[in-house]
Amino acid sequence: MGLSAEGETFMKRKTGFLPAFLVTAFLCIVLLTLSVSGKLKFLSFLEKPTSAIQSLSYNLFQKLPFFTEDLKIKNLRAENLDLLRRIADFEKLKRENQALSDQFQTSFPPSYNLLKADIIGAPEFIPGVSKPLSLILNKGSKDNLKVGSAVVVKDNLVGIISQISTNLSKVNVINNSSFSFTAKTENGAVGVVKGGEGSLTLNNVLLSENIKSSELVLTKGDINQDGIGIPADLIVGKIKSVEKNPSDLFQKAEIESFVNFVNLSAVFVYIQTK
Amino acid sequence: MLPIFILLTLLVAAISGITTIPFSVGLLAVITILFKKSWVFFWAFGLGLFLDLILIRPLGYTSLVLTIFVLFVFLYERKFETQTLTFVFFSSFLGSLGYLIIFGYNIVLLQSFVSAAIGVLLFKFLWLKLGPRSETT
Repeated sequence: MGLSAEGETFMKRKTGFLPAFLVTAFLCIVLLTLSVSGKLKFLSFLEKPTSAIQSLSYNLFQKLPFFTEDLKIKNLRAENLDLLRRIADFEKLKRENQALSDQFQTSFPPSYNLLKADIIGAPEFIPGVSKPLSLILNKGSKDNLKVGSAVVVKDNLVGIISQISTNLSKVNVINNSSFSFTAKTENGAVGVVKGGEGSLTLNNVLLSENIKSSELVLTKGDINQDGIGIPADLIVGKIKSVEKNPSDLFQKAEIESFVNFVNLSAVFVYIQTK
Repeated sequence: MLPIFILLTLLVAAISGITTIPFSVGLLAVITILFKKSWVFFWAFGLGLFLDLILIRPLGYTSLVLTIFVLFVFLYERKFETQTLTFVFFSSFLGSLGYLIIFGYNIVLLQSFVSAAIGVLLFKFLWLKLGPRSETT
């Protein structure tokens, strides 16, 4: 019809990409439907090679001299975490002893085991600088991990498992804005810890409660009927600053976690044994 | 030239476990603009599946998002001259912005800007290598 060569090329291109788009979009929708309904578990073998690539890149990155933490600082941090764990244990023993002497009764909480999991991915905006909001672990549902299980490092809360597949799991770090839980201070003031843009705040603390800087913040315990959740007395961090306004209903405090999320290489997951 | 793109795709897939910057969007924008071929949809599909596997998303989710992004680039190709730095920047920026919002990441504007800037640099480098003939190859 008198079309120029350029015009013919254009028409050819105009219809050329639609079939390819329709085929790939159809494949995506079919895969997505099957995946959401849990019918693609047989494809879990694909996770192994992909996680191996991811693990390799993460470990290589962790070894870069620019991002690697000084050994002396690393040892001091580890020592600090250990001492904090001892303080938390001591506080827990003190409370248990008080409860026993007051009521002469003891409770039998379900028994937990800790499962070591290696971090194979920690997506963050600027690697090695900004705090990651999620971690990818090399353990999944086949290792008895469940969504909602607490993740710790030396009794310091790191986060909870938010997504799980057969061989891998994703942890929502406590700094993540989609994560909140109840916590208490050393003096027993109760509040809600919420993350946001890499920071942590203790909200909803009654004005009558006395909270001060450098006080330890511990988890209050939030376990569901299946025994999954955050155990009590895990260390969240220490209070950095307190914001108290007489006209407000509640006071809030900024918390600093003792965990260096940037250089973490392994964590421990609470798994229930009975 | 294809081996370079295969290597770049592998690199982008490998570093997606380290950074949240959506380099995959920038790379796909550059590949689509340079080659203008329908096999880019399958490339987006494969890359999306890999990202779904390592970031523990439902299989097909990222693929669908990337495929729709490639479709938009193809559609705008009719309206604008696409093989320009401006188009590469804006398509990468808007694509990255959409990607980051859909998957619930933080600091979306800055991350999209970085992704678009990397896309522009990649385009400029490859444009020098490939030249305008890429449209007909």
